[in-house]
Amino acid sequence: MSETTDPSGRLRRFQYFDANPVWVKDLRQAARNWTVTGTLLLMLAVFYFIALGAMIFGETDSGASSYVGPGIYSAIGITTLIAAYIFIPIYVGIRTLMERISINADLQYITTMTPQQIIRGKILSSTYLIILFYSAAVPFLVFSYLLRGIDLPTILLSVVLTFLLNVLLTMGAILLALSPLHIIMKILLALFAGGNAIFFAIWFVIGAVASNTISRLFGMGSFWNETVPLIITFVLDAILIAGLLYQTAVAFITPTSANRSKPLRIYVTFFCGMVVLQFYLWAWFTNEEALILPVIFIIPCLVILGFLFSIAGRDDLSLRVQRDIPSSPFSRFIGFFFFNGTLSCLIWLLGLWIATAFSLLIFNVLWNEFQTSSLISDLDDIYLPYVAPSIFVLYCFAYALLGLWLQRTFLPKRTPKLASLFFALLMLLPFLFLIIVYFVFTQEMIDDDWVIPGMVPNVFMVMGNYPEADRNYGLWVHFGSSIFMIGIALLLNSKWIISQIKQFKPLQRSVDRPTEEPDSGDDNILPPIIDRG
Amino acid sequence: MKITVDHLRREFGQTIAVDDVSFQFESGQIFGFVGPNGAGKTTTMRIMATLDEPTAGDVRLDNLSVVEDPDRARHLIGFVPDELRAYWDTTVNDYIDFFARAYGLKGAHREEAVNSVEEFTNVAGIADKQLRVLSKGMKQRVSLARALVGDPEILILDEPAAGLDPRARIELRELLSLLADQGKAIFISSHILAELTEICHGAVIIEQGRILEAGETGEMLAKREQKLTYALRSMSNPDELMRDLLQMPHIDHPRQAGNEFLFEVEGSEENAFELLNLLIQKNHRIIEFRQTKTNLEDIFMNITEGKVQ
Repeated sequence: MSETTDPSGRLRRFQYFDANPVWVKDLRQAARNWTVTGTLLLMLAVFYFIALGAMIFGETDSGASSYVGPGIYSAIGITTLIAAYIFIPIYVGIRTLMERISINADLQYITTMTPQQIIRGKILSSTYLIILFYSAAVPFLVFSYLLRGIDLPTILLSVVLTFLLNVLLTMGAILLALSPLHIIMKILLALFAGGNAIFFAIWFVIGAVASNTISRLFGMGSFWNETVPLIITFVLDAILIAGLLYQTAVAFITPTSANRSKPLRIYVTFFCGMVVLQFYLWAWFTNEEALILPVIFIIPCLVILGFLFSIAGRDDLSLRVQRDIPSSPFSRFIGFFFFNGTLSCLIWLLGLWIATAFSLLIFNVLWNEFQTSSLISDLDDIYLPYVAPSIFVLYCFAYALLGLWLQRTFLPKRTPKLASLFFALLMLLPFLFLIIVYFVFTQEMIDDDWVIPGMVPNVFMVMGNYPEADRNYGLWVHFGSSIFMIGIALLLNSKWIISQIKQFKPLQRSVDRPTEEPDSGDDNILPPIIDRG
Repeated sequence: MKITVDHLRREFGQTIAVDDVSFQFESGQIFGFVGPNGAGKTTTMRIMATLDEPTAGDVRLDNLSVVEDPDRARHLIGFVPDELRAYWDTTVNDYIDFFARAYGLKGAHREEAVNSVEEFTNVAGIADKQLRVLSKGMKQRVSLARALVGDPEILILDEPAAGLDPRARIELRELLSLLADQGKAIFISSHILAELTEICHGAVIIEQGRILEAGETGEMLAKREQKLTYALRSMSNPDELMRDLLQMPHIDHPRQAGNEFLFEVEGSEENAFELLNLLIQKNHRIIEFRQTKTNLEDIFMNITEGKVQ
């Protein structure tokens, strides 16, 4: 108590401030690792030769020297991108993976460090490495300013843009390394998804610089009304995605016995809210109704991905989780959606989509009321923004429940990850089977205008089907069949649902055991070897 | 501090790795955990160290539940795994310093703590060496130093003597005895029963996930006082001697240990004298016949009826 009020106490606490242990360890390891030093030196050598070449060959061509800037800027920029975008995520990803699969990960977890501290340390150390690489590149990039052709704000903005993307890529590598997937699956995902992400990021940055998009941003007619909001949106989006990657990584390394769902679900709810709000604001202020389309694409994709992962989790609540369940009925009701548990996760995800659709409806009404153009004012227009994404979400909810029922009923002792496999197979196999059987008997592909209830891939066919009346009819059929399937799946899972709801109650203790206070960190500063000689 | 393992059960799918395991020990004691490979030793130890969660049951440190409050329990536990798969580019000092930081030690206290455990475990001389170049014995010392730097009340060691040379084993034994004298509760698993006999105050014997016997060594021995263990050395054909021993009255668990035969004799020393007479009458050329002290190995063999290797 005295420490919080006494200024000298506060100073003492500041004196004992210590850097994150994982950060210190990772940087010490990086300093000793020849691949980091080697790549950095190689990058500097390439910069040196690029600059030297530009100076020598630029001067021989009289009159061209004043235009050397963009050339040298691109060469140095691409070298930095290759070094930082490819090397750092691979290095950090491999290190994290090696740590995760060895006993050392266990040893970290039985210290008093929290999962959040561990992930923060990983992110800090990788960000420090990125800064190290960029700090080596920036003098050379500024050098290109002296050679004319590139202005300093463009250099600054492009460095910030590439840095943010670099941090996100590295966080993605950490997340993949920590994910509860088989190592082969991780490698495949790193090669395909990771490779594509790196390629896309490099293409995006080079494209933005080469096409003078960044330069044009500064030359926009209204800097404060257009350029600044764009930059702020980009930075906020990067922070939002970084937050999502961080929370997911923390959830991955938090023991299953802890209530690891709570922070993740709260963040994802916030994330979805921010994504939706951002597109509404942009649509509203630019008067572009097409800007709401990402909402009806991003949120259902997130929800469906959530279904796939949520059914692979455990059903039972650990003692630690039960201990935290609130006793008041209202808090318990709210808590149900944010505590561990498969059913609560499925309902929460479905709720996310319902909330999104509802917010879209309100936005729609406000738009038609206050904007000069109209958004969706006719019942015939509701199909693509409202009905079609809802059908996908409802079908996937039904398939998730059916996959769950198959695993929990027939293979209860096997890993619950099988439920996710069944979910994916149920979505695709019946449709493939139908196509093959139809082809075998008729030697023809099925007609585009067929409506096949219960099959998700057929919804895409129906959506591409014209005229509008047929399309709308097909979508209603699918909507009805998805509701019917959910009904069946709920019936099949009724026992399981009741048990899930029943188990969500505060821990009942027969006898209240006193709990012992462990030693605090401050008392724990000297081992007994010293104290007791 | 009293450590109570209470009806612990751990299932992995259809496999029951640990089944209704209960025992207890306390500060200042070294307890051995004995059992064949796959008996459930590591699983039990991982649960005790908060690295795994039981399907049922609990581990309590006095009144603190490891299952309910792993975060608080971790302040009290140090875990030494069977093998230190080290970070490939970390020095001994950096490694111990990292864990000191991870346990929340700060500033000069941290430095002092790191130095003291390095000295105690005798790794101060190799503090600047990278972990990958260390021998197995040295790695085990580093591992022990890492576990001690957080000043745990309880030390859990999973097969710490495996792969160590005789000198390193003796040194490890001495270190553990010193730590027990300092009041730490030590729980150690090992295949080498002779190692445990000399330092353990008690033992837990486990097989196929179930406890066969648990308690202090004295209590275990007291239960078997009616049986005395004898060692016999003979110049006769070993097969013939074993065959005759198996046919003798009052004899239990005859077994060959090197150039000796060990067996237990029920009842009084009179029976042992009678046995020796019978062997001599059968023309066995006995050159040594002595009573031995019953140790953990005898108890283990006795309990498992010699079936487990």
